[in-house]
Amino acid sequence: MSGDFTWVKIHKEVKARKALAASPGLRSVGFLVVNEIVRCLKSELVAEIFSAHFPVIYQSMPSYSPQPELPGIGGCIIDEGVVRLPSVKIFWCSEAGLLVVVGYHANFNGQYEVARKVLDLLKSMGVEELYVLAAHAKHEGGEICCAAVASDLLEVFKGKTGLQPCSTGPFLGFSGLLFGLAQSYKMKAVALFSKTEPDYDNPEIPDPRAAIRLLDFLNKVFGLAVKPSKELVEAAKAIEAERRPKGLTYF
Amino acid sequence: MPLEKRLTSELPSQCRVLVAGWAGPGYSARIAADYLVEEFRGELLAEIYSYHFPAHVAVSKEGIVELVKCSLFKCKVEENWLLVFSGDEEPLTPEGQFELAKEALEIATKLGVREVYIFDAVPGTREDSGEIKVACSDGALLEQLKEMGFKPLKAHRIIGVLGMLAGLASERGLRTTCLVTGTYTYFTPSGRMVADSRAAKALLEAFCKLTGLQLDLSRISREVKLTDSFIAELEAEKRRLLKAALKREGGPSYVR
Repeated sequence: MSGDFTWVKIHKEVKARKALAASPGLRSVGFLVVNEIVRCLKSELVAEIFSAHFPVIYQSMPSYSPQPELPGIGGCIIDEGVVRLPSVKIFWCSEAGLLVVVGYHANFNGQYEVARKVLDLLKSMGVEELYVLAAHAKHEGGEICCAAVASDLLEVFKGKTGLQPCSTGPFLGFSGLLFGLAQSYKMKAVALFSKTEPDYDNPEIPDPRAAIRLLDFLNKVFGLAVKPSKELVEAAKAIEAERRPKGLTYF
Repeated sequence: MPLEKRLTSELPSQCRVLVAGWAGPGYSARIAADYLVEEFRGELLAEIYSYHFPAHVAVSKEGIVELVKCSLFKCKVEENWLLVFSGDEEPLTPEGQFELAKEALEIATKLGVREVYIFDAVPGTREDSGEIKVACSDGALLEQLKEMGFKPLKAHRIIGVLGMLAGLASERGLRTTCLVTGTYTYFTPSGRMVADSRAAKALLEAFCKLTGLQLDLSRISREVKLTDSFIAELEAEKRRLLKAALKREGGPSYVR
C-alpha cells in the first residue's frame, strides 16, 4: 500500500520529552486511562493521524487482532450531529508536560504504516520516553506489570518502581506495534499492564477497576493529579457489587 | 493502478454543489440522486472504476457486459452546474472506498465545488420512512440547520464511500451536510425489494429547502402514491390468502 493512505494534521507545534499511549485493547484498560488523563488535565488536541486503513466497522473480532481477509468497512463517525473521520489523536497536557496518544486500530493493510507515522510524529515532537498502557490477564502476574524494549531500561524501571515483568506473549494491535517499533526510533519505551479478567465474548468491554488501578500508579510515578471520573468510579463499584453473591452474609 | 477514471464530456465551470447518493437501504438515496440527474437532464461527466469493487460484471438484457463502476454527472441548474455522484456497489475495502471518495472529491474541488450534500438512509419501520435527520461538518452549520427545523443525528456512522466522502470533505473545509432519512424496505412475497420512494422524496424536499433549488417533485409524488397502493394491494392479498388457508384447514388444530 502506498504511503498517501495515512496523513498527519498538526493543529499546534509542541515539544515534549515524554508520551503516554494507549488504544482500545484488552478490556480497554489503557484506553480508559488515557481518556481520563485527557479529560482531567484539560489537554489540548495538537495533532491527528488519519488513515484510509481505519475502518468504522471492524469485521475482525477483537478490533486489535486484524486479519488480511477482513479489512472492515470505511466511513465517517457522527458525534452529536458533527461529521469526523476516525483518527489517532495526540493531546498536549501542559500541566504534566506530557503528550498523550489516543490510538485507533488500523486494519491489516495499514497497521505498520499507521504505527510508523505516529512514531515519526512523536520523534519530531522530541519524544524520548514512551509509556504504553495496556492490560494483562495472567493469574500469576502482579496487579501491575511492566515490559521494556531493552533489558537495561527494564532494570532501571524495575528499580525505580518495584514492578516486575509478567506479561509474556504477543502484545496485539496499535499499542503493541507502537511499543515494538519504538526501539528502532531509539526511544526508551516501557509498557505498563494492569491486571484484568478477559471477557471472551467481548474482549474490549471496559474494566474500570483495572483502569483506576493503573491511573493510581501513574499518579504516583509521574506526579499526576488525575482524579477518576464519577462514571468510572461508579462503573467500578457496580462491577464489584455484581461479583458479591447476594444473600450470603458470610461472604 | 487500483483506480481508473474516464472523463466522458467537457468539464463544466462554476460548480458549487456536489450531491452524492448511493444504492443502500430502501434504495432511496440512489433514487433521489437519479431524480436530480433526470429532472435536470444531467450529462455523464466521468466514470470511475476500482480494483476494490466486487469481482463481477453486469450483463444487460441486451447481452452487453459492463464493469462495476460509479458515475459523476453534471447538471445545468440555471447559470450554475450541479455535480451528482452515484453508484450501485461499494468497493470491498476501506482503502478502495477512500480512493473513490478522494477521486470524486478531487474532481469536484477542481471544478470549484464548496458544498457537499450526502444522501443516506437508515433502515427503520414504515413510520420512520421519510424522517430526515442531519449531520454536518461543523457546529455553526449544525446550529443553522437546527434553526431551519432539522433534527441532528446524535451518534451514527455513515459507512462506505459516502461516509468517507463526508469525512474527507469536512476535513478539507468544505461545507458538508449529510441528509439521512429513515427508510422502510418492503419485500414482495416472491422476495423482491420495493424501493422506498417516500424516503427519496423526503431527501429531495430537504435538499431543496437547504439549497433553495426549484425542483418539480410531481413525478416522484406519483411514484409514492403508486408504491403505497401497490403495498396496500399486496398486504390485502396476503391477508385474503391467509384467511382462506385458515378457513380451509379449519383453523389451527391446537385451538379447541
